[in-house]
This record gives sequence, structure tokens and C-alpha cells, in this order.
Amino acid sequence: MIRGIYAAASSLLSLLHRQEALSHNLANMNTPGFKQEVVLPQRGATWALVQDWGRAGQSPPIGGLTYTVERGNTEIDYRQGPLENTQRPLDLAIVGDGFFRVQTPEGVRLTRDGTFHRDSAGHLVTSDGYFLLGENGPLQIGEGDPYIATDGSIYMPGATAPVGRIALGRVADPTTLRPQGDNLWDPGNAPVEVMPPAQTTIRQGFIEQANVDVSGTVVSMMLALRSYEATQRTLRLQDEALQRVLDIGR
Amino acid sequence: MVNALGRLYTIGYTALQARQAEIEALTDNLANLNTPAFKQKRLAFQATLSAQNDKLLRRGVELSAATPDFSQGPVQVTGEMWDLAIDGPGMFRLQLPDGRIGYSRLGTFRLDGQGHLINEQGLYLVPPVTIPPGVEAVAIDARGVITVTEGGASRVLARLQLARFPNPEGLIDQGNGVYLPSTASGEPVVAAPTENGMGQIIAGALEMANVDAAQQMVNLLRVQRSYALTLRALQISDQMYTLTTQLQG
Repeated sequence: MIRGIYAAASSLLSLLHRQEALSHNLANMNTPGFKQEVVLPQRGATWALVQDWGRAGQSPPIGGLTYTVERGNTEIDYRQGPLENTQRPLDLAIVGDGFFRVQTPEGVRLTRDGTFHRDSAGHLVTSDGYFLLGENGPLQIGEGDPYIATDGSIYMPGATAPVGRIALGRVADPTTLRPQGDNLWDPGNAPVEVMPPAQTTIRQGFIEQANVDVSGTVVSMMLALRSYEATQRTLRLQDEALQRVLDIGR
Repeated sequence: MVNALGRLYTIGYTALQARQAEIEALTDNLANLNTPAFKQKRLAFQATLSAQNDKLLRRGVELSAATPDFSQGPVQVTGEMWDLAIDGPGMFRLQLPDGRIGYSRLGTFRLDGQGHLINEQGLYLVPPVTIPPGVEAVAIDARGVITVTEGGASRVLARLQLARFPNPEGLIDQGNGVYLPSTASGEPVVAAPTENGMGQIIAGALEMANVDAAQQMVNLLRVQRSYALTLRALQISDQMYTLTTQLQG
């Protein structure tokens, strides 16, 4: 009976956790380059039940019992988000693989948020002022609207040679990336491979929108709420049953 | 459990704030559809997370930038002599009452009683332009050269000066179409029209707002729907809270 209470309580916690991830996804439905988090369902440990006859060697098994629900692991869904045409010359969207590499005080971080700006010295920077990295470090483009080719090469008006090339990066296993807020991912100790021009596809004047499945998220929330309601009910029922047992002993 | 519930409210709150900011920016853009030289703004958002004991806590979303779009607006002929449009990136330099220099694309200039060229808010151009009394005709050409005719003879009176910035998106909006420089915008470069990439002056015309009305309307409809969904999410979190409190009873 107590086991049932634990099972219900752990299920409530797990559903709150799910609701939190879904809310965070929904809050970021208009955050450029945002990748939604998916909570994977996870069953708790299954315990073998045996009938205890009180005699050694005579405890026949009667099946298993799973009485907890663990907080599910979350996974980032790295699928491509839809492209929005903004016509802003410094809005860049990556099509397919790779991340923009940006220089932060803590080291190189990765992002899919392509809303870049220019600092007063003409460097390409993120909204937080971090340098976008090219093949040879920060990219200084100066004044004027650049033309940015799909391989990331930046051409300034009137010039035939590129001033630099945006060098995208990738890691062998994206599941090792840690989101750290500000639309950045921390590669940690994983080496960031700089991608060759032939594998880079950048669209200028576009923004990669969040890949949040908005209607799916709201439906999942409703489902989480109903499960929460049902579980809360079973918990109260068990509580009442326990109360009756206590009343008998009174 | 209470902590987890509290976070649900934080996330819902930041989401509502973000959608509210978007609605405000879009309605502001649409309200200024017919405001000369108005520059539409675009908001950018960031996901926020905070680290606690090596665990990442989701905090929802925050506004990361409100960027004015300094692309050229359409030039409309008004026939007013002192309406000046700039076809190019240059900006008028204005003397602010506090001594600083403000920068503006708004070219609705007039002459005050003393013949000074002033803008809508009564601010003087830098350097000031004064039309002497008794002139028969005044003309401004594309290079910003002001020619006056007195007693049948023409002479050059002055030449307008414009300024442009390495990063106009970094300018600070002071309202009424006046902008101030910031560390992000960089220092202004000053030159006469048609020189040093300033663009040319079109007299008798105004630069209109660069608002893309259709795009803004589509975005407004989208954000209104997003707002409703965000409210629904917050309601669901709230119902979970109610259910949790009913456990103790």
C-alpha cells in the first residue's frame, strides 16, 4: 500500500518535470536556433516479488513490480528548424549540419542562432557581443552590407576577394553538447571539428526558427495534466485506504 | 515539488512577457506605418538557463535585442520646399537642447522667424543654416548645396553636412526620430551629401517608414496565437499546482 503511494508520488514528480521541459520549449517557440528538449519516458527499477513462506529455499517468485517512475532523461532534438526570410543582411541560417562557433570569455561555444550584429570595430558579433569565428578567428567586415555565399565566404561591396569565411563547427556526438543559456551550447571536452566549405550551407537573409512543435507541445501538456490528475486521485485513494486501516486499530 | 512548481510559473511568466514584448513591437511598427523616416524594430529572444549544483534549471526566455532596421524607406514627393529626404545611409545632425548632437533621418525642416532651418521639434541643424531676409529664391541640390538668389544674382549660401555610423543598428532611439550614438554604433563619420558614401539629398520629398506592413500583420497574427497558447500552458501548470495542494487535505 505504501509502495503505491511512492509510485504515485514519483509519477507526479516525473510529470512536473515533463511539464517544465514542455513549458520551456513553448516559451522559446520564437527563439532563433532553439532546439526543443524531448523528455524520454523512463521506467524505474523493477523489483522481483516472491512469496515468502518463511522457510529457506521455498520462496516461489510471483512476478515483478515497478513501483517508481524515474525522472525521464531529456534529449535535445537537433532537427532543422524552419527558415524565416527576414532580408536582413546579417541574419544567417545554417541548412543541415553544423553550428556557428563564437568566442566567449569562457571559450568557444556553439550556436544555431544566426542573428548577428556588427560591433563598432566592424566585427561580426552575437546579440551578446561575442565574436563569430571564421577560419582565422574573429571576422572583421567593416562597414557596408556584405554578401555571404552559401559556403560562408564574406564578400564586401566592390571587392572580388572574400574578407573571410565563416567556419562552422561540429562535434562527433551532439548529445554531448550542454545547453548553457543565451542560445549557446558548451562542447565541453569534445573536440570541435571545423567543417570544410563543401559541407557548409549558409543562407543569408534568413533565420532558422525554433524547431518547437507548438501544437504537439500543448497536446503533450494536456496529457501531462490529465495523467497528473489521475495519479493525484490514486494517491488520495490510497491515503484514504491507509486512514481506514489506522481507524480500525483505534 | 514546490520548487519544481515555482519554476513552472517562472517559465510561464517569462514566456508571457516575451510574447507581450513582441505584440508591443509589432503594433508600434504598424502604428508608425505613415510616420516619415520611421525605422521598424525587430526583437530577438534567447533561451535562459541557470546552473545550480551542476544541474541546469530552465528559466524560460528573455529578450536579447531590439534592433532597428536602418534599411532605406521609400521616398515620397511632398512638394514642400524644405522637406529633405536622404537617399543613402547618411543622417542629419541636430543640436539637442542639452548640448549633444542627435542624429535623424527625418527631413521635415522649416524656417523659423529668424530664418534658421529647424526640424519638427525646433532643433537646429549642425552646422546651423540661416536664410538671410529678402532672398528671392532658394534651391537645394542633390549634393546638399543651398543656393540663394538675391537681387537677381545667385550665390552659394551653405552646404549641408550628414553623418553615418559604422553600425547604425547600435544607435539609441531617443524618440521623435532622433538617435544618439553608443559604443555599439561607433563614432560618426561626417561628410557632405554625395561624398564618402553619405547618399544624396532629394529636396521636396520625405523618406517614409520602412515598415513592411504585410509581414508585420502576419507576425502579429502569429504572436497573438502564441500568446493564447502560452496562457494555456500557464493555466495547465496552475491546475497542476491546485492538484498538488489538494494532496494535503
